[in-house]
Amino acid sequence: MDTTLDAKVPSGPLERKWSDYKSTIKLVAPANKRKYTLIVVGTGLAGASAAASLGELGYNVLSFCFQDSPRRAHSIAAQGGINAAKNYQNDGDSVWRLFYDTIKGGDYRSREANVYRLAELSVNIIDQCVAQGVPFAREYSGVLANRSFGGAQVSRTFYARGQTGQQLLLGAYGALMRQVAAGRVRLFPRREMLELVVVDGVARGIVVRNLVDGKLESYVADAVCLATGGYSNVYFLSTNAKGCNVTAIWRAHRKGAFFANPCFTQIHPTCIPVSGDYQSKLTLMSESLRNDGRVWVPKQAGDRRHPNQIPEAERDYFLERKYPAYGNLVPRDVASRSIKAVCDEGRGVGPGGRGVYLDFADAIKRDGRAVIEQKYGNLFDMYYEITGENAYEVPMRIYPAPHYTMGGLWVDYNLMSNLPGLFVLGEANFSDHGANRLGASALMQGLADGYFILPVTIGGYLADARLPKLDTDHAAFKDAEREAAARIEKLLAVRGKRTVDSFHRELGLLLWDKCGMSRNETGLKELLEQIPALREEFWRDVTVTGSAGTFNQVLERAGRVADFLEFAELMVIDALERRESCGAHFREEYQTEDGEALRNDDLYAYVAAWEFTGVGNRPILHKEPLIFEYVKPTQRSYK
Amino acid sequence: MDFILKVWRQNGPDAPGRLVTYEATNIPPEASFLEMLDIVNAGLEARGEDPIAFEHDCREGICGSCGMMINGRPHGPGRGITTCQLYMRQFKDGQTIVVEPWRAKAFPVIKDLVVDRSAFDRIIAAGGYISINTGSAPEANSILVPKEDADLAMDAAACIGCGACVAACKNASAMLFVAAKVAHLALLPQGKPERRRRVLAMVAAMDAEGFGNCTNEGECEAECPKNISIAHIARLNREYLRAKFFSR
Amino acid sequence: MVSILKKAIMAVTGLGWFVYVVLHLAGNLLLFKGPETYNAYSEFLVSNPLIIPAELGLLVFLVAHLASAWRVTRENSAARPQPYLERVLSRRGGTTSASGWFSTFASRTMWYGGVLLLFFLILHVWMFKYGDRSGAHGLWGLVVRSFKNPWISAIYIAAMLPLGFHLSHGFASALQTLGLLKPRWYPGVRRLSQVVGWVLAAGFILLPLWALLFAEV
Repeated sequence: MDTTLDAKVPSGPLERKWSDYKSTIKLVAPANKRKYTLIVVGTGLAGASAAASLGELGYNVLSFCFQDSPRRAHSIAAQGGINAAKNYQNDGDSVWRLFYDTIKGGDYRSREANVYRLAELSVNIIDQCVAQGVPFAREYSGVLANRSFGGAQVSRTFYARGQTGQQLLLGAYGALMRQVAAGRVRLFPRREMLELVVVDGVARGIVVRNLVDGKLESYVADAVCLATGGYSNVYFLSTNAKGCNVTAIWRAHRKGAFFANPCFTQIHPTCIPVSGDYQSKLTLMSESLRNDGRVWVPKQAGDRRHPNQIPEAERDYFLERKYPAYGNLVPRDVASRSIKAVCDEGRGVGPGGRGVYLDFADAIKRDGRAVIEQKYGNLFDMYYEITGENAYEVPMRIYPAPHYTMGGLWVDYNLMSNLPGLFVLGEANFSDHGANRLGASALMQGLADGYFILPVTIGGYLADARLPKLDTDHAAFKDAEREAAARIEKLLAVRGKRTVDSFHRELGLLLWDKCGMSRNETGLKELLEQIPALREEFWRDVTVTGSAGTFNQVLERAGRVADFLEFAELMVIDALERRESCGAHFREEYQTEDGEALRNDDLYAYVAAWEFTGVGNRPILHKEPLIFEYVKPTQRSYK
Repeated sequence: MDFILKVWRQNGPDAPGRLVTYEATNIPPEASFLEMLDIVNAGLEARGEDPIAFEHDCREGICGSCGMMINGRPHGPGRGITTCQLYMRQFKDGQTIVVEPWRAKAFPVIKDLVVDRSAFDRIIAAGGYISINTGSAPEANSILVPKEDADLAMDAAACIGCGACVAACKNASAMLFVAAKVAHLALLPQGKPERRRRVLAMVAAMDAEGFGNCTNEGECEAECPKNISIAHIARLNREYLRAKFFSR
Repeated sequence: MVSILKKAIMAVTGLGWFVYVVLHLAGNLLLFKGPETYNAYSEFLVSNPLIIPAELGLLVFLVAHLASAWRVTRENSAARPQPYLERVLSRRGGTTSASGWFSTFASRTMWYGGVLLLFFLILHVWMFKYGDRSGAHGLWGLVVRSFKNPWISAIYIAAMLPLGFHLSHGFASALQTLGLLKPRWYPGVRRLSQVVGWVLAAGFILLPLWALLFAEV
């Protein structure tokens, strides 16, 4: 049975929804808070900020991460910055404009009320982070500095050199460790969540594997919050950390949580191109490079001259040509697709022709090398380390790479999934970015969810919930433990010949080819044959060395790849079902004459939330209609 | 390229360890050191052997997960890089490469090249933050921070907590790690109210973990992937002595 | 005791002894001036009422320096129970820290050099402070006659090598430990430390050398 989902968006005018809701939501009395135990899985920006804030409120918090320390979560790798509608630059920015840009950037596939709230909270995030000692860039006067960032016409991005994610995460990590010291948060590093425990339809705990001794451990709570990030690693090669995985949210999905818009995956335009099949990951170059760098390819296909020998007249600055208003600063999906298009025409540069130039010669001529060095020195150094090329003298080569996933578990306005008691934050949920995320918005969303939204909404849930006392002897926990143990045993029992990574790599290539930057029905249908076949082969021929009761990194990877192999199918089904192009989801059948994404608001202005019905079975589609009361969906134009 | 690897294998904190020799063959020069280990491990896995355990995550030099002694140097040859940013073109074809874990009492070996660095978390928990609850922050631009101070604080804040400083120090001292956090927060006006408490608590926590003492040799700075200066250690010493003897 | 405090104690007491050693050398260079001047200087020192507190102070500094060093050294070796099988220091690896500090023979042998200096100090005090000054030319005579023995001269000269090494790391290290240095002073102070250490050592070496080769009793 498919149903229409209710997002529980509060009534009232857009600008007042959150503040009114916040002041009427039920509260848990301060003295009662310590009686509630809350689980937070993941310690990135969303997870760490949530765990810290919940601890500050007085809840009893259990914080889990698979890394050896909460500080290593992948938020740390975000380079560019964080948006906030502070309008410090007097360039006409406002909460409304940030809201509008975000919803437009997301190609009208996100929920108005959520996005408005995000824009509203953006200003509080900056205040909070500055107070925590995040060393944001400053002007000589001592005030905060800003820059403009991918897809924005105002300067609203705050940054800490090229390490904004790191500094914000270390701020949240500090806040978290403060609560650990205060005894309000207990930390469980090196634990991987393997099961969500649902008791009478309510999320009540998790089963984790202790990655050091391999033991399964169960934890009971009054609510479970997943902040476990995105699933870009389904493509194997992505800019995500190697450990990023879909397991936690996939396991929750298998237990009944709906998975929303899984096909919305963002391919970031400015990454270092792939150089060989040994490669384990792709490296992102901050999008801020597009502020000064000009993207071009030779006009002639097959022009193999050294870039500095190609005269100006024979270069095609294709982003500036196609999108005069935004030029090199068009949103990520638009840029990525244009890059793919010129490479498909045979005009790509570098090994295999999968790359375009990002040229700083004009910027260096205009501002001097010192200025460019000051702005991007660390990025140029990084590029040099990886490629051995000096980008001050030779243009950089870039190519898109999977980077962020807008899809995730479906959540309502309270960030609660359809399973009561299961909250989902940050990249792990689907909520705010629609079909495409704007630059410097991921950090904003993670922190808005963790610092400001969840701590409020979870109180509303707890105040109303009647939760029976439970312990880990409950049958639901025992069943979940058995399930997790059985899966591990099954992986170890295969004793086949192919390595885990070889399956992962193969899955990634399939998806990248047919469910990557552009998709079509034929390719997607092929994938629906190929993925189950690969999955079947995995369970027949994978080799997982070692044993269950030890530190076993192969087993860790095997479990994650097994889940990717199930998840990938859902992603393809979703991509196939959405017969329109929107944002990062580009269906070749649905495009305008000049090759732009062609949305179909009449049929697809909804969130596709899928219900699990068993591996290999057709999932059930539930829809949350997207109603735009305040902005009028238009054809995105960056011309 | 081909290499002879001599890798420290150890099954647990109390198990005896030893160097085991592996051949790494057909390694592309563009491969990173970790990708080279991936290739070696893929071979081991395919043969049903236990692959070399090593810690890694972001593979772009920021998460601080990876770290090993490579030919006697933390994160291997080169300056200002982590192990994942080390590329095989740095080595000579046929070279023998010795790989060991960080060695320190405070960093017990978990397996092979993986060590337990939770001591760093406990040091941060002791005071490596500004005690502000969510929601109580003043408007961001009401706190002015001179650009020079912000830049200096950022230099210190760049620490990724990888532990190379401890690994490099002949005394396995964690002073550079602690100094980086103390300096970052002490340099900012927001961090000043707690600076006394913070430095006393963090140094006490550092000592309790069993790290050695600083003998001012600068090896930590030379091997720090983020080039954090020992000038911050001088600042830490100042902060500490000031807190101990000159405040209030 | 807190690590930084132990190090601060070593720094302060070390600097205290450093000042004393400078004064001691300055005074003892009077040896070249002949018995009258030298003995008068010695008489002035021992008859000074401040001599007892000064000597006590030096003793306290010495004990504190030694005790801290003992603890620091023990803790440092305990902090790495299993040594590396291979270790290349930054200087040989070609990545000396940007601040210009690196591990040197001197820095790695502070404890051993310090212990040698302690033995030398005991010998030195026993020979000259409590030696027999009743012969010709008083203390001057005692010192010069002693140095006429090539074995004793050799010991004195050899003992100044650990002094040179100890100070060439110790002086700069103490200033860094007390947080007194700005980064831009680092290279200068490192060099100064070496110059100071070896100039003092050379100054002290001159005394037995001169006595052995040129002095006439």
